[in-house]
Amino acid sequence: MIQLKLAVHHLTKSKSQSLPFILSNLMWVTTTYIFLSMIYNTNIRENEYGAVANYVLKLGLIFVILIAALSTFYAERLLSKQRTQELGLYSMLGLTKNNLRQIIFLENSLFYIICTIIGGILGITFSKLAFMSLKALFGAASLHQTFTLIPLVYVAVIFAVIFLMIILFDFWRLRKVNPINLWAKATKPEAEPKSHTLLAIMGMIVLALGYYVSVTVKPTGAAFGQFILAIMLVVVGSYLVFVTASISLLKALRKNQSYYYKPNHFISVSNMLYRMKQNGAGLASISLLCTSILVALIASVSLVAGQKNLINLWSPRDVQIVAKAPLSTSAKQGINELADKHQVTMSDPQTVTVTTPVMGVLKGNQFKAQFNTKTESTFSSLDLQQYNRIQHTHYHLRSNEILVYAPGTNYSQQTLNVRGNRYQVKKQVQSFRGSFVYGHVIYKPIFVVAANQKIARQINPQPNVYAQGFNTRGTKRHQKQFASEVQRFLKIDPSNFTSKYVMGDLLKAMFGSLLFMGILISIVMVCATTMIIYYKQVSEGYADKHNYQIMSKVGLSNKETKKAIRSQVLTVFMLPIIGAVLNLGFALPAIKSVLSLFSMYDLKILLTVSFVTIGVLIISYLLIYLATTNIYRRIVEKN
Amino acid sequence: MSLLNLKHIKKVFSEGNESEVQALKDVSFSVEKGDYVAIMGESGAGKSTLLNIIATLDQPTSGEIRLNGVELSHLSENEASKFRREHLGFVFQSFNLLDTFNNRDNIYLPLVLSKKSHQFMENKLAPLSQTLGIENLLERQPSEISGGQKQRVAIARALITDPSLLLADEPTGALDSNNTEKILSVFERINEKGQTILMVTHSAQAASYAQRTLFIKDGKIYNELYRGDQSRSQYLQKIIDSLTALESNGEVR
Repeated sequence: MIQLKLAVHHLTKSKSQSLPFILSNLMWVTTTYIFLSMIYNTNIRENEYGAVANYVLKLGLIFVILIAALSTFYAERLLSKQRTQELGLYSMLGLTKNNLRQIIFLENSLFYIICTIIGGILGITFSKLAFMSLKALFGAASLHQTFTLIPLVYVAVIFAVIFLMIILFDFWRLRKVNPINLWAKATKPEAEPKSHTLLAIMGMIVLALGYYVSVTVKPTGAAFGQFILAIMLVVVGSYLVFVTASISLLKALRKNQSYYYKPNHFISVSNMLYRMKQNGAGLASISLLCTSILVALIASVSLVAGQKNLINLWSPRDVQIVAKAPLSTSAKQGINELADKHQVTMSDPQTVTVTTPVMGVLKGNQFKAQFNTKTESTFSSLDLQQYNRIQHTHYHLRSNEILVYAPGTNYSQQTLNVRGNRYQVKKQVQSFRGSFVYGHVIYKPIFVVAANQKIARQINPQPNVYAQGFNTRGTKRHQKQFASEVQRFLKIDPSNFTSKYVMGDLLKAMFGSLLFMGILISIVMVCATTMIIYYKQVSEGYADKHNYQIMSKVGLSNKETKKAIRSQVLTVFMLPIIGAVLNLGFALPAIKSVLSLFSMYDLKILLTVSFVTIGVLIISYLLIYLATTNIYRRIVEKN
Repeated sequence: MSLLNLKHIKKVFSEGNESEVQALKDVSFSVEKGDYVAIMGESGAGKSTLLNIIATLDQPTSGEIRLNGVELSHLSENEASKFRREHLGFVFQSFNLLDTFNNRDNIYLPLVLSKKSHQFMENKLAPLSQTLGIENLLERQPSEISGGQKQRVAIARALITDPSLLLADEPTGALDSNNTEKILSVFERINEKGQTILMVTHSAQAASYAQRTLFIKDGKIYNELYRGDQSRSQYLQKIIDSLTALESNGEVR
């Protein structure tokens, strides 16, 4: 069958183009499989925190599939120019359109079959490896993996749909042109792009709106949804701005005669302007991919880095029991017996008595109790005597004076209004060793210290709760067993019982898998970015080759060619990274709020991680830049 | 001293290989300032090789070539680029205008590469665009104008640096007869103003506009004609006779 022969011929002949295409698709198939297998082939979703992780995994999966589809289309479109010419030749040699369609179908089917089979095998191998490293790294002993066919089936279906869409797209393009146009298309010059002022303004408005939403995200239950809205606005805005604003910018640069008529700028500005329609979309994609790398890495690394803080925030002692009454003598007796049994010694017992925390919002100097998507904090009160005892301090308070302890919130108000009374804030204290998170909720705790019990009750009339904790010593295994047995013995539900060792394991598993995902997504994004840049450079190299040859005849030396290429490629490279850093700057408040949902309020960790991640990204980005510039130069200078 | 001087130029491709080709065997001639020289010959006679060597795009295997007293065969690649920019102007068969620039910027290209000021470029372009009749084309893209117009823009690009020597490679090869005549009369006009031109061509008609025609065959100069005081049609007849003799391997005396 001639069609099959031609399809295979195309695949094997143009290796420099079909090989990266296959490789990138292999990568997409593999990653999708890993995600699916994490979702369906593990027991992650069975444990209580895993449900959140599972939800995040699914979000990640959707994101990966979207990016895979988009970048596959992008690569296809860039490569199709050369393809079209070849098909035009076949058409002139007497193949009918139906024949051409068969060739296209066969080509893409071959791509599909190769990618899914090899990708599936790679996926199975890597997911095994990934799972094992996840377990080894984070000691997630309770995780295990089974093998089912579900992920494979899903992968096959998802990529069948993507390839089918590509085939239909190719058919549609084939229908539009007759053989003569087909033949001439690769050499036909593109018209200069027009400026679209309206679209540019719209893009900036959408982008600004996205930034606004992102900056105003509050650490409430609605944070996730708001963050996703911000992401969508920024995506749309970025594309519009990059496509339109870049053209306007280049045209403005061209008008500036003293800038434009310099050898480097002259060549690079006109080259970029000439191809800005594709460039804009490509640059926007690169910028967004870089942003998502930063967001994914920063969020997950911060979580893991802040994990210790989180447990300390939940409970000041190794083991803590929160109850409506002090522990009975028999309960204490039981705990002592369990400690003996597990060779654990207990020390530093501490009981903190506070009014039962209520959920609400701190607005200005006003606290309002409410429980809905706007809820940010839990609010509770205690008397000064207790605070001074725990902190070894000697504060004195008048009846209308209070101390405020609000970790993660900078409360700079002079007064605080609660339940119709106004209190003078004597000081926002930086430390309270009895602080705990009631019910392990996602809201920030606020503790108000009042002169005595009566006023404390006036501030928050809820009944008292007793947070009773102690530290333990012994082997890690013993401490863990002891803690679990104490919980079972006292029959307390997990939200009122904190054990640093049991909790630590759970959090490790959960944040570990989030970090793992963050890294996985980042790797995928780096690969996608590299791929897009590679395709851009290669296709532009071929397009610019002729131009550089002409210029070399007119008197452009090799040295100047190198300089011009560097100037052009650098501009193309710097724009997206600037966009990405800008995006990140506006995303940080939202990330901080979303992280607060995991009780992570540590801005210092967040900023440190951000700077390190940006640094790493820029360095690896520069490496990609150097490598692709060389590819570009080789293509341009090759005769 | 002559403007361009070639002495025993020899060019061998894939030397020492089985596929060794002697493109130029022994070529010597000189061009005086203000000359208008046509080089004719069949495909494969070595015309393009010769032109590439004069254009510093290629270097001879042996022999000497001097332009404005500069020995071209020893230039480094970067020196060659600079030399091309400052001393040579190019007109190609396929125009070789850049689609990424409008016509004005295409013409400015060599001056921009030489880092000339914008004011300088404008002053240069004004009289030139008038001579060539392209004032109205400057803001348009090369893809929007006809072949004859493109070639005039290309000539403007070649002349804007005031080159010592204008090299033209089949400048009328892609044009219809009407445009061919227009372009050739443009060449004639600029030659009258003192521009030295060296043109490679297939066409006897094109060569008849020149003052002097060199015939190349098998890598050697085979014959040379001067127009002198002859009319163009007389000269054209002589060129055609020479070509016929060349093709039939006959001797011309």
